Amino acid sequence: MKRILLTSLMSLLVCMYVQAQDRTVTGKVTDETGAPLPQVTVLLKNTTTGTPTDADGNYRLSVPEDGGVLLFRFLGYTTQEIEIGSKTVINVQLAPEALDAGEVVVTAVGIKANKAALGYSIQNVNPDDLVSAKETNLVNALSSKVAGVSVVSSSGSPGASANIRIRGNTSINGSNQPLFVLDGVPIDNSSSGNGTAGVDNSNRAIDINPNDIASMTVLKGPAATALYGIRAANGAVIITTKEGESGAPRVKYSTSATMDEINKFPDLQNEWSQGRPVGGVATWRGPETFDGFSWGPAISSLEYDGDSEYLFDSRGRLVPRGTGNGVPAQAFDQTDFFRKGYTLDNNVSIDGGTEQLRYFFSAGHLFQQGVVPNADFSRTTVRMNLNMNLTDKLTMGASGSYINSGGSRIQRGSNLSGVMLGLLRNSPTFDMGNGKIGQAAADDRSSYLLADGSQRSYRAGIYDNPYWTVNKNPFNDDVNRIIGNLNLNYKLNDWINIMYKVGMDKFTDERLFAQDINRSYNGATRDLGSVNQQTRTSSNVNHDIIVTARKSINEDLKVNGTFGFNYWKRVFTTKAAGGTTLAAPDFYNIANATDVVASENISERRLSGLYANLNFEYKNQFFLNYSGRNDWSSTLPKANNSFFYQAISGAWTVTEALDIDQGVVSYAKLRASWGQVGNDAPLFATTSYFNSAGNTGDGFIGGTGFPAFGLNAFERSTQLGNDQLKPETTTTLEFGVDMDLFDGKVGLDVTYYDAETTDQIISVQVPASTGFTNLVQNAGLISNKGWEIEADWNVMDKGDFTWDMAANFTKSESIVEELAEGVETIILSGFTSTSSRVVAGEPYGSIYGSGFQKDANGNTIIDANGYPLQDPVIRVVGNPTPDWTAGIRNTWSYKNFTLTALVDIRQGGDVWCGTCGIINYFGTSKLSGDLRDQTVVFDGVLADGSRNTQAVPYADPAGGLGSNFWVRYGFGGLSEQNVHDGSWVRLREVTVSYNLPQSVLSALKFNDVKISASGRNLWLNTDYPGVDPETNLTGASNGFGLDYFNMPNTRSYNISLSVTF
Amino acid sequence: MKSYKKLFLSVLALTFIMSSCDLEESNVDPSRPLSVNLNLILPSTLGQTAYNQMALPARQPGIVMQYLTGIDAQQVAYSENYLFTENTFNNYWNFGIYGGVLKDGRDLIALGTEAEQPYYVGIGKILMAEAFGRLTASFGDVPFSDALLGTESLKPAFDTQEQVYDGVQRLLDEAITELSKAAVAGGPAGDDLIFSGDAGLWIQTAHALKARFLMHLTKRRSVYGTVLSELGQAFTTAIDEPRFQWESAITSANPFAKFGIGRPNTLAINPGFGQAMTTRLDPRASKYFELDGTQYNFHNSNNTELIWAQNASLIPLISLVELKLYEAEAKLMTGDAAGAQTALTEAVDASMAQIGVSDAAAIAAYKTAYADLAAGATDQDKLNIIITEAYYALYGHQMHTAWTNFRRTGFPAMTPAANGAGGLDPSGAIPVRWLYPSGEQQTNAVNVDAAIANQGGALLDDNTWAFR
Repeated sequence: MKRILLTSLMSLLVCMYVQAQDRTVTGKVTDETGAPLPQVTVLLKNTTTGTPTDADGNYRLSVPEDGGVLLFRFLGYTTQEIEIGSKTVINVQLAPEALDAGEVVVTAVGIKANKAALGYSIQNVNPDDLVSAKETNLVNALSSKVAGVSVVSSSGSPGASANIRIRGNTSINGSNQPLFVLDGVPIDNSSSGNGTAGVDNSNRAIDINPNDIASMTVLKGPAATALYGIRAANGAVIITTKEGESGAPRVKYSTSATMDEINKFPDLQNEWSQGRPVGGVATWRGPETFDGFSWGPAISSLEYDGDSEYLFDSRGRLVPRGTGNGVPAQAFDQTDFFRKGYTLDNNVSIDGGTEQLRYFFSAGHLFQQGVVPNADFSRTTVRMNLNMNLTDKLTMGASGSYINSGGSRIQRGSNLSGVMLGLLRNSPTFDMGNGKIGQAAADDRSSYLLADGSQRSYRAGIYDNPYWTVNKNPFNDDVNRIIGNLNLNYKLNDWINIMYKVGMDKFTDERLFAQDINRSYNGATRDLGSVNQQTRTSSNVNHDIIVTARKSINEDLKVNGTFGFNYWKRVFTTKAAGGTTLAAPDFYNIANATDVVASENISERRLSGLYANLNFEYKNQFFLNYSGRNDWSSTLPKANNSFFYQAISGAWTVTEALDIDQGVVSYAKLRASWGQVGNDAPLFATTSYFNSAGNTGDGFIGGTGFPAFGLNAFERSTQLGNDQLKPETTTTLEFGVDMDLFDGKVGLDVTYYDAETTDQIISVQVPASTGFTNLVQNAGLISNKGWEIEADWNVMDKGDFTWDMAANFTKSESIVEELAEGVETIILSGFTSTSSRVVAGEPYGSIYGSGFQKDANGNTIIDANGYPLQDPVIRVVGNPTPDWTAGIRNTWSYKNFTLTALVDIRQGGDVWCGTCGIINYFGTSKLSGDLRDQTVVFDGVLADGSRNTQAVPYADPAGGLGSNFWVRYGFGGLSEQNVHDGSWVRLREVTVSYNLPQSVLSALKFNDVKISASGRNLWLNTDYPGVDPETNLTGASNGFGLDYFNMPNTRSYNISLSVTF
Repeated sequence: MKSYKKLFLSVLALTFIMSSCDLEESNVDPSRPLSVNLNLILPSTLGQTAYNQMALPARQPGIVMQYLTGIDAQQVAYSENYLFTENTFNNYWNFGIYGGVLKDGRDLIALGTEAEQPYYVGIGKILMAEAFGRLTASFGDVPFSDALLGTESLKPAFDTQEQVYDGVQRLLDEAITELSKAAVAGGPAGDDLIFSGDAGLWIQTAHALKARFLMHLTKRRSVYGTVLSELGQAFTTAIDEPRFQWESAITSANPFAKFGIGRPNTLAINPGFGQAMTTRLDPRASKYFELDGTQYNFHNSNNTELIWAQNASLIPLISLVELKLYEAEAKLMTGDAAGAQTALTEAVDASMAQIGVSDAAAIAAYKTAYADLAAGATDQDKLNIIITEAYYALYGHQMHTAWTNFRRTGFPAMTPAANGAGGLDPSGAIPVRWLYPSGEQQTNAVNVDAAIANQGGALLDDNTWAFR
């Protein structure tokens, strides 16, 4: 074994030097019609000597005196081998690959199959589309490209996570993410730490470099994923990376530069100053009063008093016009805080090899600077893929990649230290940057610090000045990850194959975050400071043994079977040390903390499975597939940890039966499938434990964490374990039609699916008066139904000009039919005031919160004072799932130019703009600025049923703060007031590219040079008042539809160059 | 070739072997124990009791009784609009009481009985009684006899408030019995953060709590005689109070101080309270709050005078001051006017000592003006003097008791918030109870609805049985 490897490597090295050549062979390569074929690989077998054919199909190659074998290879055509002998001219006519031509997809466990032979829905994604999307996060690159796949980015901050869902949500407490498989090995796509406060943390698919991808296939229903077991209960994204092709080394280098700016931001007012009604009169109150509101007098009625000693503004305090120094008061634009972001992405790859050993090596580096000062993310990837033919029966593949990623992340969300919170609540009369803006202000300490080291902010330290946040509340993460696999493939005979594959995905995520000591100018301490270290490690090891057999029983019937065994183990640990009460400022090391508490958590999970898949093809017309799998899971009770599920699908190619292959309907296949897949329990759900004690129960402040008072303490967990748990089961019925129309000019793929998930493992809330708050149970039923349509149309193909259109359309509905008996809702994410929940009888993830009282006809009830009444009962106030989504791509190409544009449409899908409610409450929003001196007659009925006609002021200072429409319903108003329609139409991608013509390429001795310019998110049309409605506060979580001081999204402009030689 | 086959097969075999290991051992959490000793449960039970006394369940009565007022964020809605919703007390009910003190107390009792440790059983019962008493005073009918049974009763029925108060007295009696037994090796010691295992002191505390919870029922029953007899068996010097010592580290600091640090400038002293203390020349004023311009603040990290708002405050769970005030009231209402006056004077002295006021002249002047029962013509007037003094003495550490005093006597008279009327408080009156938390409503709907019907309503202005 070793010797062959060594010899191959040696010969590879030797062969890379140009040998003494003896004679020349020339010739021409044509296709089956006689037309010349350029770019065909002509190779001297068992060497790296080779050359591509030119634009006319001609080639010229130097060969040794004693001849050899010439190989002619071109994608889509059958490879030919010709003995050179003593010939000097060898012309070859290549024939297209018959019968097996057609779209090749990679199915479960990495088995390539012909899409025409499949009875279930499966979709390919063009890897070039992933690269040209110019997204840092691979998941974002999938946006609006595949029917049935929904991608929601959490925000535009560098390294932010994105939520991916295939066919809606099936699980309440478990994961709804599809499985990501890289080269046949499941990899980790988890994310952690995306809460309602804190920073945007990444999901781990961000470590995959899109430039390494050779193919990506999306598997959608149980029929497609039954072979991957429970981890693929929500679908699977199968990715294969590039393999080397034998031949001389090919080098590809690409570089790209992108500029980013914010694409949408809430509208703020610039007319009214900081302050509130005092004694019935709007009064200016400066930062020294700690006043958070902007209900002060009009800015146009104020001027400065010129007191240069005034702590918060060297221009002085604000006083009524005529009593100061004559310099009029001004409003400051808060969006001056942001800077231009940019991304630089460089990649290089080398591949080549002989028939015995092929290699692919790549390295890439991406650096992204965010639009928020001091925000950045970077990623370095290195990959080596080797494929070896050890003997003519045994092949081996080895692949390893190392990734280092991480960045400097900025606080956001419900967080007194969050950038958006501090920025949007900032009063227009306060100059956040103290004379500077953007990065210049962030770098100048006098924008956020007063002379004595206390904080300079519009509320004197109560909310952090965003310039303070980006400097004094650092968050850095550093991930080191290794993904590797080794596989051995043995051809037992010409119809049986045995494969063994072992894969590993191991990463360490080190996070360091801190909050500096925060004092107000009057000496009051706002934050004693804290430093936290966290080290998370994850180790996944996956073994597969797969036996495949292919046999033609007779000329009409072909059978192939796959039998396999899988074993997977995952260990996840977290070690953390948290220090509170810092001694000195600007020192973010644990040594600076007075009290340090350390903790350690370990979790382990194992799965093993046995599966079989049988495929029957009859007369190339009828296709039948059956798969069955049995899984054993460590998270289910020992007595009941084995479960079996199966799937069956069938397809009938109608046109084959009727012997049609042209005309209006040149190809039509009907397909139907039924499948089941299971999902196991969350960790440690089968037993009840004691936890490290914590005394809580407030809701505004933290609790006491033990060890404390010099003692350690434990208390019984309020979650009751259940040793009778069963696995969750999802059953899907799917029907579909694949058609080619008008002689193949139009392709259409329509699918309808109906899935039901039962025996949800839910942590059911029980009355706390039982002494427990949660009981893990099997209960509940969720149904998912939808339509997926993919279409493509070759609109025009005239000479050098082509115009292609491709579109996808998704309509899906996820309804929580039942929950456990007596349980009406379960919270998924959010706040006690407004949250995303599962509610019996309502769509999954419904937005739940407070609203106005309504009568039986849906009219709002108005009280005697003329204002709408609040409903004391909280209820569903919005549905965050869209009615439908669509993506439309147009591609025009003329000679060497290509222009492509992708339009993304979403109809429906509510988003709760918590940000809007708060900026209305504080009076910094444009809405509250425009309306505050107006009166209104609220539409509704009085208690006696008569129509309301009373005109009331929105915000009359005479009534004080309590009568203000945006203050009287509490902090941020009622949930219902801030739920908005998140529909949009956006121009997601536009790319113009130019491939250098053959003539120039030959002169430069390059194989390919491509220059392109593109734009991302260039245009967005939506009625949503906040940031870009494609946002989610809690990242890749089960709850969605919440926007509470989320970071804004960006639009980008890019140019790139790629060279192959 | 053969060597490849061997390698291949051995790898296959290895994989099979590895996977046939017992899967279940992966599902045991190595970072959490499955059972613990009594001495590891007690500190948490005591800590949660002390936390409940100074956290949300104290601040909200503080707002209602106009000690505190909201000046920003949600606190404004609490003060000006009485927006105490069904979400406000979810965490308290779930994690402070039922999932907190009561859950741990039940474990102390069960494990203590099994291990034959009567002192743990006794202390557990005392802490459970205190929690139930406080709970029923705020919420009316609550689950008591059917509670804390886990899967045996997943929808606990609600007992009437009267039954709960009787149950509280019973628990305290049982506690006294347990604590009167002989000491057993391995009993509470260092883990008892309050008395270090001294059963005698716990017995006195139990009597003090009996007195307090009997006093809750003055409108419904004649309790004064029993109260005096209980007070006779409770502690008589301040040093014997059950006191909890908080720490300066932020994770184990006094919740009242933590609120001032973590939610700055959202809650301040009610200007009426501040001005009243100033007008009365109350010597305790500088220890309760500081004046910053026009705003009275209850917290300032740099002001170590504010005794109830320090990180490391020493908080009595029940103080001598409270007992003396009960004594004064009981003696007054049973005809012992002289005894009442003595008790009142002692109460004031105890309060001044507790707060750390040493100016004898100021104290004397204060007592003459505000602690002289002769200034009251009728018994009700005299009661007003006692309860008003209680109002000023209980700021910070027993605001919940001041609220109970108001509900059962109507003293001191105060005006409700101007904009308090709304869906939760139709009459706009000063709230006299809390709404049942939404968590309990959603998971135990039938029983909650039955309890509400039984009490004729459970909005903020619907009086509970004890205070009707």
